[in-house]
Amino acid sequence: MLNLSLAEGTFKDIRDYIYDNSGIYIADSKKYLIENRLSRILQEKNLQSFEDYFRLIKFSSNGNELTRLFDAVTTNETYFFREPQQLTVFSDGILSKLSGQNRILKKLKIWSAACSSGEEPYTLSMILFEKGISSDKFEIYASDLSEGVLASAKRAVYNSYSVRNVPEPYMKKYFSCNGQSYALNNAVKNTVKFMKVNLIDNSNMSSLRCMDIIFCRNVLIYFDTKSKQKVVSNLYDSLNPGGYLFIGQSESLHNVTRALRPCVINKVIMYQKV
Amino acid sequence: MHTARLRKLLRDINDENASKRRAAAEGLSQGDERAIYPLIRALKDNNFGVQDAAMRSLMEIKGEATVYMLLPLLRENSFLRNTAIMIIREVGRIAVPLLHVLLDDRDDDIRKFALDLIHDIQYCKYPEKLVQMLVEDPNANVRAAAAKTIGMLQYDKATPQLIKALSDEEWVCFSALEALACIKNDSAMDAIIELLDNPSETIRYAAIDAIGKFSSEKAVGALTGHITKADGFEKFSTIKSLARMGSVPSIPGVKEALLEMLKGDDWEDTSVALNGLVALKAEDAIYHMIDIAGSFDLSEPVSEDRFIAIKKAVQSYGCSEHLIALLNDDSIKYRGKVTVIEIVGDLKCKKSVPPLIALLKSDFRDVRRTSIKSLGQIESDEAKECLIEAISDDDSHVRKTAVTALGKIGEMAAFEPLMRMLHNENYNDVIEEFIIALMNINAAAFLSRIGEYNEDIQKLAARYLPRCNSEITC
Amino acid sequence: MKIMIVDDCQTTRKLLGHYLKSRGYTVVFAENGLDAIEKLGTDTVNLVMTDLNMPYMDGMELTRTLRADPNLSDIPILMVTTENDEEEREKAYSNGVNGYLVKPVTGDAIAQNIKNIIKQFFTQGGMQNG
Repeated sequence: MLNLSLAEGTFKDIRDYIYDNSGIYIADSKKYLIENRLSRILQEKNLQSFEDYFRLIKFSSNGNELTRLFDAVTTNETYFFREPQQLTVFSDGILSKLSGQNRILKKLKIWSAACSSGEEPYTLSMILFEKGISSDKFEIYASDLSEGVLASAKRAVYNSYSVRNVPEPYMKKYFSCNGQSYALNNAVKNTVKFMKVNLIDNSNMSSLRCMDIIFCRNVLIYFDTKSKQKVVSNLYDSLNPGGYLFIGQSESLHNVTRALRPCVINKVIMYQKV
Repeated sequence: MHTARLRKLLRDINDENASKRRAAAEGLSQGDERAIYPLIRALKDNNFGVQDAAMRSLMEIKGEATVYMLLPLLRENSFLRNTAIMIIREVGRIAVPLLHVLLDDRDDDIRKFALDLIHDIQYCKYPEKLVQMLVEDPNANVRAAAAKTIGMLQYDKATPQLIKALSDEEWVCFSALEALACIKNDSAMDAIIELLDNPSETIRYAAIDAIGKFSSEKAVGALTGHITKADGFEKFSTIKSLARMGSVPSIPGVKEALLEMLKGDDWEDTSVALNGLVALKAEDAIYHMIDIAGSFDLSEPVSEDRFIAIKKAVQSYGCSEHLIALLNDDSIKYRGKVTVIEIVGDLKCKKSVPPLIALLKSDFRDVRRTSIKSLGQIESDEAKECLIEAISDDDSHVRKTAVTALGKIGEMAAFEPLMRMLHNENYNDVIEEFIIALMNINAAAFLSRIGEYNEDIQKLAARYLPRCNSEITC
Repeated sequence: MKIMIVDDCQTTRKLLGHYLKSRGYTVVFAENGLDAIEKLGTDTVNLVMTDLNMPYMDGMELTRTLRADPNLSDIPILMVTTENDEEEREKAYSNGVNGYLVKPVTGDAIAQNIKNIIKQFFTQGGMQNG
């Protein structure tokens, strides 16, 4: 096997390139991470050095190489019903608040930003069905930077790790099992619209406006403060007045924005655009 | 910015619609001095989004004029005050000369805000003024803030005044001690060491902490002497300070204190304890280190770094009996066990081979997989047989790892089994590993029999041809 | 007993932290009101000791936000600030704090105030201004 090493200068070039194109910031201490994860790509492409790889990224005409790079540097550990306390507040607290407002004709619009392989938006869809809200009353948008995971999300077939937190009644109702894989049924699949979105670039969010609820969980950790501010500012603009933003339970907006006001239900924090 | 655009934004920032006001406030970040006053007014907007955008824009515009126009807000309600402070802080060094006048303000709080700002900006061309405030200001909070700021600026010339401030009120003394610890002027050591006998526990604690930052022989001596006089929380703090200096005396109670630090909530303490326990060669700490490592959620970047720090610490013990014993310990969390398996593999601990072989029967795929990888790294003969058996495991990840390991070792005995199993393999990535392994073990033999396999496998094999030094042509 | 100390100044957090830890309390820290709210999502405390002037969310707003949520409204709040202003003090109490101390403050004064607040809290059965 090849044992290539990543020079300091090249690491900085790659790091800056990723940052400029996505806002994702990779700290110095993570150099080994990049080295490991990119080595595989280098081997596949028969490249002799990281410098060659960097040139490939910069000059490749389609975005595929770049998205593959993003893919490689973010950890995509996700599963259905992640952070259940938040989901309970979403289903029992927020949904009733929002449906109480005057919205007989307006559909509920929800956006799962950084949806990865789809577990989150599909979870939301199942929750809405269980609340008796039919598919003509809501729209779920789901986005990610990586085309690879979006393709996987559209297929909606999962392994046992992804479904390990799914309550039994949901498994029976919404999944069909085939050996080690679990496929979501079409009723759920069809409720989610997937699209490729880069969160720091508001020019690609024009169709993601007037959202009632945005979930942006466990992705802000990849951004430095400045990029986080940009992302959250974009999410703010995408929300309806009165709309809510959910971020990961271990994440924070405390040096990021004053625009969204924290609101607490059952010790779960959401941020509201008031 | 083009005048027409600026005019439009200045109109829109007063629009009825909040989104328009916010967009205008955002747009004005590229404005010049004419944008400043409207943005400051927008800080008082009743819409939070507008306020936030105005704040960010002022932070981008920066400049003396911005600071000058923000100063009056320091006298307003707490929200506006704090917003003004955040913006001025962001403006940075240019603001500092303008803060000078506030240092003589009648309002204690204003004087303190100014000092805190200078502290956060970390720049000041008039440190003598700060020293004067340390000595003469009637308000203790202000004197404490002056001490803190002097320490941040590392203004060495203030050492005598800081030493004098050690006799001031507790609040001020605390800040003065911190400042002296930042400046690290040895002339302060004696005065600080004297405080180890101060009647106030808080002062003694602050002195212990400060001495720990000096990292000199005198400091180590003073603290080592103090351990015998201290007990409870104070003893704990003394040991902590010593550990931070890399000095860990082997006296009773130290190991226990370090273990408590290791298991505590504060990562900084844990990190110091890791080093201390390794220095003490306290092998019974390994269990606790692994326990902590096993509890991290590695999808969080912060946890990943901490995990690595712990792993490094455990590795520095080498192939310890305690470490190897953990392979048979069912009380460790599963992730912790996987970590132990990784470490014994990296260290190539031959004595871990029997327990690793036993772990090949584990229900957890990751345990089996990591055990195989480690056995591959250790390269013992006992291990080779198990690896060969594992290439037919039900789990593809396990198979893949076993195949890779055998390829790396270049194990001749594995050649035929690999050739056989390749026929049954369905997963492409595992097939690839088979090919790489076979090429590494005996490329010539493999390629001469390549016809036994289907076209896909042959094509895949061809991709690896340039890699080996073989002169065989297909 | 666990107490959360909310203050944007690291030296103050350290000092107040020591006052409490040396008296047997467990202490957790937050840098400002928003940080405090976020941490209270996963942590349970017996009392919040907060500064007034902090960025992103000051002590008054923190108090109002805690009092607005039924799950958090029964946490006693002690404000510890440099503001020696009668108007601010009254405002703090009307927002829902249970105690108001002016810095600099001794460890004993803090400890005594905490004891009084907790006692008052439990004898009066929950959230009522002192």
